[in-house]
Amino acid sequence: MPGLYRYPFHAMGSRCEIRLYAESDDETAAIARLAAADVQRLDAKYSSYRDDSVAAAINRVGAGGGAIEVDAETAGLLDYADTCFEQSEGLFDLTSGALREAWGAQCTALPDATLLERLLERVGWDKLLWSRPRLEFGVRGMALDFGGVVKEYAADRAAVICLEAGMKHGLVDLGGDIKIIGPHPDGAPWSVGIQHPRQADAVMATLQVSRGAVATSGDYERYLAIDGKRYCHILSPRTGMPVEGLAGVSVFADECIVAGSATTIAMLMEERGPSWLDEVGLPHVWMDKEQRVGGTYARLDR
Amino acid sequence: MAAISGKLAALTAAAMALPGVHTRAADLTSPNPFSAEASHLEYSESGSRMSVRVNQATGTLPVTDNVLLVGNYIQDVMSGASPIFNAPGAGGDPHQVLTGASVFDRREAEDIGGVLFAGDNQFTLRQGWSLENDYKSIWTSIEARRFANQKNTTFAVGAAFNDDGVSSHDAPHDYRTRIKRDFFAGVTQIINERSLFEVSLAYSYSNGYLSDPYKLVFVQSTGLLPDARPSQRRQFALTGKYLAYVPAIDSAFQVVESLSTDNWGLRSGALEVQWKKELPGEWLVSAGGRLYSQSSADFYKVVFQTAPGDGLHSSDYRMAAFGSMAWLASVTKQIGRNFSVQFSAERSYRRYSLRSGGTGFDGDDYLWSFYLATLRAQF
Repeated sequence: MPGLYRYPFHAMGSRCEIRLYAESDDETAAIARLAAADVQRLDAKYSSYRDDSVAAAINRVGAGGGAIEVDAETAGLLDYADTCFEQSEGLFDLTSGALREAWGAQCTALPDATLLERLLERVGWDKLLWSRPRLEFGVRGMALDFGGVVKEYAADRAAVICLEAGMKHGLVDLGGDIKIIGPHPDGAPWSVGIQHPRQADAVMATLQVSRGAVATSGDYERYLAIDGKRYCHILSPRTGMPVEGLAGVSVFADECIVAGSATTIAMLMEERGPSWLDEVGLPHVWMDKEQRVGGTYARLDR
Repeated sequence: MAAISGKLAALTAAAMALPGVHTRAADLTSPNPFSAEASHLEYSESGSRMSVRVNQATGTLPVTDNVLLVGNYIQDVMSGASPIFNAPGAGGDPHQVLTGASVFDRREAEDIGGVLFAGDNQFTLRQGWSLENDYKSIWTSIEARRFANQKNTTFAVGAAFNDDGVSSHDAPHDYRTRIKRDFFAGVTQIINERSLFEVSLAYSYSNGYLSDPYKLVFVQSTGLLPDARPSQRRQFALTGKYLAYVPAIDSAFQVVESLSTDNWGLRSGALEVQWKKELPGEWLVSAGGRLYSQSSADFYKVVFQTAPGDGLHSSDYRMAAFGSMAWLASVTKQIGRNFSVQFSAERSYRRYSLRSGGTGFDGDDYLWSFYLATLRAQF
């Protein structure tokens, strides 16, 4: 009978793990390594922190307001980001990358209004001319931040690598963004516990998933503490400030990239997040700053 | 979920266009693979009796996200001698009289159907037909399955409706019709990750010409009369299966017990035990045995002294009391991710001595065996 093998690794600034059921460790270790290698490839390719990444190359062109031809994979991600921009009333915007300047990890004080105003002039997806495969920056000093799409895209690809290698039962977990390869061998679903945004050892909801993906976003994952207040890592492309609305949101979808963008957009929608999620129609659960819980999965607990 | 929102449709379509996010093979957990299967079976009986060669091909084709088309084709070629009636021998022991010339018969049957997957439910509809010179059959079957308890429990119910027309080579246009209606209900329950059991109940109702046009009976006082069975038959069957993996010997055991009874007086029971083991290199071997026993039909006699008053008489060896012991074995090899090959063999010894009651004779004792080779492909 198959046993469960776990392969932890580090990528995209998160603790990642691939879990596979197999008769023995031998074949699955190789498959997990292959899948993890693809995740690490994407981490390196789209990292905002490496000089040799494709993202850095694009942003060097962006700094000068020029144009660049991108590879097929990047083109696919830009097309996807374009769709997210349209479906989110322009809130999901990869060009928010330019705001990094004001909100670096070393930031100890709120950036002043003039800096933000200046940076916001370089933010805006509609300031790009994207005509596959050519990307042209309309304004100097622009930068793309792929953080909102790459991790979930990597989870989908890693799961497919495992499936194509013959794996039928397991999952890929990239820092809480999960793509299911298949349920437990006896058909039982995986129990995915969603972290309570305010209580470290509590769970907001438990989802039973035998297929598909679950992604989670929250203001508790990565944040800046300034003057005793928490500022989350998701920046609004309109105000340049961290969003304030939901404390956490999780969405279920067939693909992790769809689940992940839905959570990001829900966070960006701030107080309108819950109604946007209802419109999209995917199963979801959210918690706001007052620790009120709502969404499809919330009703199950009641 | 009802209709997909425009927002979700847009996001999903864009996600599908990304390289490596979705692949046809990715949905191995989805029940819709493309598949094809071809098999060849050789069946033979001892004493230069019947031998049959069967070729079969099956295919499944997904047509939408939740509909699968299924098609099946069977061709069987029968040759050799077949018993017609039993005659009393010189010393009082009856003996079988077989067809003189070698019979050569070829039949084809096809069916096509669809499976609909709807959440925890599955519906199957199939339509089949077989059109020969002396036999025309049309049938329809429906089946519904429901999964519960996270697919640990499966309920299944089904029905099949057969309409047949039977004639004979001698009088090919003299059709006599019969209908058969089958109903079944069953439950499969996974007990734990190592074992499961299955129970099913079946009921079958047949009406019309149920005799065999190629068989006769020997009546002492009269001579030869045609095989004449009741025009109605009701059968019940109960089957139980238990499958368990035993870690100590790293193998699985399967036991199947079935019992049946009908209003022709024919009762039967079978017990089959199989041992299955996986070997390194994706080999699966299994071996086992089956014990079968039945009683004879009320209207069966080896040889008749006088013609029965109710006009019912048959000496067909399949209506006699007999039992059998069979050995079975099979080897399956998985080749790559998409193909598998299986060889199976079975050898069965029919024995009058293993009967359940009623009458028959050991002149009907023979040995049959078959060899089956199957090639499967799944994508």
